[in-house]
Amino acid sequence: MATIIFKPTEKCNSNCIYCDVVTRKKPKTMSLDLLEHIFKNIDGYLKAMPQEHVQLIWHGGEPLLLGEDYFIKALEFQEKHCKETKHRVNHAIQSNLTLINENFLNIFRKLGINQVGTSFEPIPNLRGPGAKRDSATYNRQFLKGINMLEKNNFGWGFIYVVTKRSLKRPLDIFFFLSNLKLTGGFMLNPVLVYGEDKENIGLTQEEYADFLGAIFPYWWKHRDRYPQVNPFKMFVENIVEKKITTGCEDTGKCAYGHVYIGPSGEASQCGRAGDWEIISYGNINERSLLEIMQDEQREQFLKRNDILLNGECKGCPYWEFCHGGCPLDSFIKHKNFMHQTNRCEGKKLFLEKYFIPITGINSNRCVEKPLMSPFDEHCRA
Amino acid sequence: MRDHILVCQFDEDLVRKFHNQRLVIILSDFNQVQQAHKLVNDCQNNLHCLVIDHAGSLASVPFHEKWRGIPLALFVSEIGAFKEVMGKLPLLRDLNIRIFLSTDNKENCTGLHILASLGIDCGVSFGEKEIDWEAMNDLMTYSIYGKVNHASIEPFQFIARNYNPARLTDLSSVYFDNPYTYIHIDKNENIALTANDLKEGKFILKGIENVHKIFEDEKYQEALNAWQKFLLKENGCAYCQAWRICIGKFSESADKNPGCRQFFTDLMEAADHFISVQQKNKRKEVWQP
Amino acid sequence: MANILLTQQCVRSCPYCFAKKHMADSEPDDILTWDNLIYIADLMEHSGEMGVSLLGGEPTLHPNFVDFVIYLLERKFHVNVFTSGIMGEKMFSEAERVLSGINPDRLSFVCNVNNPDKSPFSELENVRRFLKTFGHLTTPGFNIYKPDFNFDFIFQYINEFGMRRHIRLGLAHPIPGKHNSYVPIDKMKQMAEKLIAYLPVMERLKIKGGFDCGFPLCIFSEEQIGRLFKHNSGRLSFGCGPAIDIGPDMSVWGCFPLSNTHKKSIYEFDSMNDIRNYYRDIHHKVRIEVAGIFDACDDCIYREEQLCMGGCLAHSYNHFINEANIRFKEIYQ
Repeated sequence: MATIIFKPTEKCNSNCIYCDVVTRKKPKTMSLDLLEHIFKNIDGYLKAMPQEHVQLIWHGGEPLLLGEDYFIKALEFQEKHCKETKHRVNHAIQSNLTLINENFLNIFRKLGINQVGTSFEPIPNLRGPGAKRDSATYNRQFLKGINMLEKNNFGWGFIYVVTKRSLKRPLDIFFFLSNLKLTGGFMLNPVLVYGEDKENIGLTQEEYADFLGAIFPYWWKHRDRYPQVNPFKMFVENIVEKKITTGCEDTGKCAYGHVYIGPSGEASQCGRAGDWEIISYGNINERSLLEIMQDEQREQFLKRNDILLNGECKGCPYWEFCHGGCPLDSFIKHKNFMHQTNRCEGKKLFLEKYFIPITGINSNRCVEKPLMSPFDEHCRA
Repeated sequence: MRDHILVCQFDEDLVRKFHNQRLVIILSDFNQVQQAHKLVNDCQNNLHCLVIDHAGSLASVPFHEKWRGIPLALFVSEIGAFKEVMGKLPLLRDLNIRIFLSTDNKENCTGLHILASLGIDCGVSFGEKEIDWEAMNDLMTYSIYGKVNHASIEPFQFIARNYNPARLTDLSSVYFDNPYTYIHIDKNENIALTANDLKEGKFILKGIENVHKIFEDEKYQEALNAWQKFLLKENGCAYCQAWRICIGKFSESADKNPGCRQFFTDLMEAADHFISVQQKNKRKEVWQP
Repeated sequence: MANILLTQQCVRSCPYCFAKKHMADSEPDDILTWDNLIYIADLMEHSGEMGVSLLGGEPTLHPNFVDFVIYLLERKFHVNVFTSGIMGEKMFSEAERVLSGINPDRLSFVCNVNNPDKSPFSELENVRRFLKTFGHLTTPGFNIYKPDFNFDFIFQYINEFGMRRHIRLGLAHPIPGKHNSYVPIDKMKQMAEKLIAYLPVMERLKIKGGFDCGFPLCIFSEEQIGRLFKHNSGRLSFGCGPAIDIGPDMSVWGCFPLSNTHKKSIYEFDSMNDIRNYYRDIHHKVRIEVAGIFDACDDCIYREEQLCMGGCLAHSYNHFINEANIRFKEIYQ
């Protein structure tokens, strides 16, 4: 599956504290001509790769600012240019939901979208429009958006961005988030700061681990009540069920799987790489999607696994959890991709300080020296 | 789309206007019990429950043999003379009745404990005064964890039976006051979403013939989502792990009397326990000849 | 059958009282609450024990005494009340109105009567009033606390008030560490002689006598045992097992004379059986060191076969206290 992080617009109606897309550069929006060109390219790629699927993740900025007609056009272009391949195109969308309406949902259904990814922040004035970040207005609209999704039987899940402001009351925030979505269905991600931390929201790895650690004992005890809370569930699945359920940054498999396409057609490895202009695969106006997906620069991400496994990550029992972490984080610190990241440290801290002592479950997913897992038959014997 | 159960004061003219309607009738007098029951049936309606709010004690209620089979919710101030109640116990056990005692009287938690242990279904009526959450917790613990057979105590049983971690559980249903199931109507056919709205004249519609239109009404949808207001606050009930089963019902007193948090947290644990016991005791279904 | 203390106050001050220590150590205002009564009733029902004894102090001093009795009857318990028969006007008239007509198979009283010659007039009047109304439900009880005693007056009571024709004979026991009146070990045979001397008159009046706990078998001669056997239609008991007492504060202990040791909270147990086993185990440990009240108990075949328990365990506890307090603490606390 090729995943296209598709940013047809960088415009956003919110000024979230942890996002610098709006403020860093003048937001652009993709022309309809370019949109059509992209669907032609998707068709070309899928014809060249008959076993392959494409997942097109509508991202932004806020993609709903494009308006309903833009999505109708996208649907038309898909019908027109991907006649034989459209069944291999899956759409997904990330939206702040503040602009959602029934028309959008009707179009989404036609695009095969039945769930929406979003994010939420209960702490006031971190998300919202305007310089003051009017979170009250934002949140009211957000809740209306949720009501509309639920009324129309759309699923939804969300990301909570953990910042320095979250550290005072982790459990309260967890309770709030699980009240917002009763079964869970959310992900607790650390804030990513590239460059100067002007708002003083960045976290140390220890702070993130302790934030998760403050919640984890409660979650573990009541995990049947909150089945879908990540990264906890992912950790459990990873260790106990041996599933590879980590996020994209930890799979070690993003090399040939991801691509970012920005509003001017610029291509990069992924959304972050594109936003922060870390790596460029040229422009889809000049190169085909197939060429971009096979760009030789990608090979370095594959090689990275070998380099880390035989170097910095050698013997690490947690390799399967993080694969050295996101190459971009390595780049931020070392100006190249071939190092492990300091997020490894955060994960390790969480596992050793909280996960393993609380659950009593050990990871045996190591490379050289497996730890015993109580779930393994050979361990029991 | 399901029909609502209508809640109204006993008014013969009003009841005669309903047809094929599930009704909760609020009575002002014990003498109306049989009369209201007969009228509802004669008009081919379905009696969900008769509600009587009696200012006196349980001991002073003139229970009648002819009340058998009539669904009754009786709100009384206290148990009263125990020996009098014991004398009425055989009849009480035979009636389709739930006795509610108010938290305004501190002895009533014990009263409910006694009634339930004697096999009389009963319930807590949350009053105006400060609630003793510890006593409430003891009562709930008895209600859910008690090893010996006893009658149900609401709203604990309601929460335990209906609790589903994937959705909110609204104990207002026990008091016929959840707009998802019940709506309130007065003799002038003004329709309101809660008993309080009706009392305060906050009507949503008028006319029995319009009851079915309630689903289209924006205010109705807003009322169903009224719980979301807690999610817009910086602090308070939405930050409590047990909010999903109390939905902020005690938010106004929670600052002064925060025991509700522990109580509902324990109740949620009890509901988890109740579900696990039910699942454990689920009998295997074998084919039937 | 467990004993539930409704109150910790008594209207009398009997010299032999083995609840003395417990009463002295308790808050007199402590009375059993409704919620605790229900808890105990549930625990007993859950344990399959549907008989309960109410006592105190004086149980009828509890303001809800009558309500408690009818509650327990409604819960299908057999209720036995240990009372002095002395109660206030209001309580008596309430009890008379509500309880006097209860089926004797459901409700019974044990009235421990003292010698009228040595009782104040007002107390006697109260007891007589009680027996007049409740005599048909009442078994007279007599506590022997000295080798020379007299319970002739009980025959009069039985005949006058139609009491049950059975005398519950109790033997006062020492409270370890306290001074109460009880029959010293070396006077027990003398007490047994006196008791046997009552058999002809009891047989003539068709009154049976039953032993409460703590009578040792060997204080009676072979011939006396034979007479007792016939008198009681073969039902003889020389037992001493943990009688479970439950205080108003929900503490439990294994019978009154031992109430100052190994007191636990009822909430620590899941059933009455658990409580009984807990105290049985403790008693067993004590008896390993001190088998019974006599030295001969160590090798006694009847004790080994549990025909006799070797007298009241309180005597064994006394052994430890007199000999070595420290050892007692180390081993048994």
